Amino acid sequence: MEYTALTSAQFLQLRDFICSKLGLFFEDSRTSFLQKRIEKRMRILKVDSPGDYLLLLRFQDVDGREMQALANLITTNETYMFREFSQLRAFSDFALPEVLMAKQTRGDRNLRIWSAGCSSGEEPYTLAIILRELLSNVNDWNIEITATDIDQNVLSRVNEAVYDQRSVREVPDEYFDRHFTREGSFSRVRPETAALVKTRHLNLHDRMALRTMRNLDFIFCRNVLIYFSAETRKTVVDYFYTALNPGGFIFLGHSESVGRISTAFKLVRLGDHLSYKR
Amino acid sequence: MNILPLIDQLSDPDERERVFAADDLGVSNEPAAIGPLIARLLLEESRAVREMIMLALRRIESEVVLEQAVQLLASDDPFVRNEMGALLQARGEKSIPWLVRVQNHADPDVRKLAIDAASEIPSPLVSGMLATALADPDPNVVITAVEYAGLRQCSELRAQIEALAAVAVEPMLLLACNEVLTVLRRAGSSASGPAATEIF
Repeated sequence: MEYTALTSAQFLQLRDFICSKLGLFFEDSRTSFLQKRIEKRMRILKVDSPGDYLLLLRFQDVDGREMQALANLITTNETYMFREFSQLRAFSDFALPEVLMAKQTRGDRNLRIWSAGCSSGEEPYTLAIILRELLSNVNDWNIEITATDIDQNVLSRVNEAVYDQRSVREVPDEYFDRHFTREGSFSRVRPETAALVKTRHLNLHDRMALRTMRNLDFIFCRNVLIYFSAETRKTVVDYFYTALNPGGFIFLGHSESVGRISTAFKLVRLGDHLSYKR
Repeated sequence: MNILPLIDQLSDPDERERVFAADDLGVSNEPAAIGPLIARLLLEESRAVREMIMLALRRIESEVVLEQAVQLLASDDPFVRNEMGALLQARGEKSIPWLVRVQNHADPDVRKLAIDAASEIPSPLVSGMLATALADPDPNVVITAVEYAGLRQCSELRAQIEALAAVAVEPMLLLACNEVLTVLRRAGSSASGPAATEIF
């Protein structure tokens, strides 16, 4: 079925409404991207025009289910394990030892990491693998990697912990057998590694939900903030500060800079990498 | 909305609570929150809280924010000065009347910050501010105005800049005038004109 294209006025209304609810901002150039996803929802709901869909979203979606369904479609889920390897090396070689040493000094055996906007889980499982590889006494630590995302569908995939070849192609060979079992053409994260990761549905635009995140040692939020409006981006980064323990680190995508968003963090050099620390 | 508990919370010993209070006050959009937020900003030591206070002030739509922001362009604190300039810029044309008011401020730094803030506001009213600044007694303010006139390709200010160039003794002012006049003359002789940024 052919659907009427979004008018520019409808695009603007929809964009502003999505931004107010989810904090996600769409440039004018992404009209077609949004149109395709809306058409998919319209097909499922048997709604004929973008205008009707907009009305439904604004006035009839009392429990927010339709907005959630749309959010599941418009958030990007493309990722793979051990992505941005140099940044992970900065984490494992410099930031992690520093935090662990400080914790050992004060007898704190808790290590908490937040993978914010975790998508299908490649990032949190990468972190779990790194921790299990680096910590000789991993069972002496109370480790929790909280994987959050706005998309409930991807969180189900995180809980399944089963990945195709594309997702695991960068996993170093020496790690693979220790952390995965093969299931046909798929790879399943071994239970002891998967156990470090806990999922939670969280909208980074939800200020009250953000307040529940605290006592974290590391926050990874890579290639997520780029989809947000400037105001939401700033709010989220300010809340990251409150969620981190003093001395905790924040890792964003290589094209994103905390320094351009907030002056609250300290810029630190970790080998060849620059990072931000509370 | 009763914002008094949030105002009290702005003084909480826990930094997190102060961040949350500032955020909630911003979301409340209550003009009554402006004074307490600014009072806290001026004595707050936590950068995180200061950042959230600025975000809160940006969210409150009242004109009182603009009135306070132009006054704070005179702050001794560079964070406050810069953030207030950015806030005024972000509010766009609504800020212009307030920025115009400080164009006769005794401090030339404030007068310069006013045109810095106005320089990126897409409004024809900015040209009037630059015209005033071109007659400022402080050479730094005048040079800044000349440069912005070039960047914005304000051809209506060309005669005023030519008059300045004719009597300029400050080398920096003379250089700025000549560069900008080149831009304005090219812009006047071609439909599209060169990008001013190519010259600066």
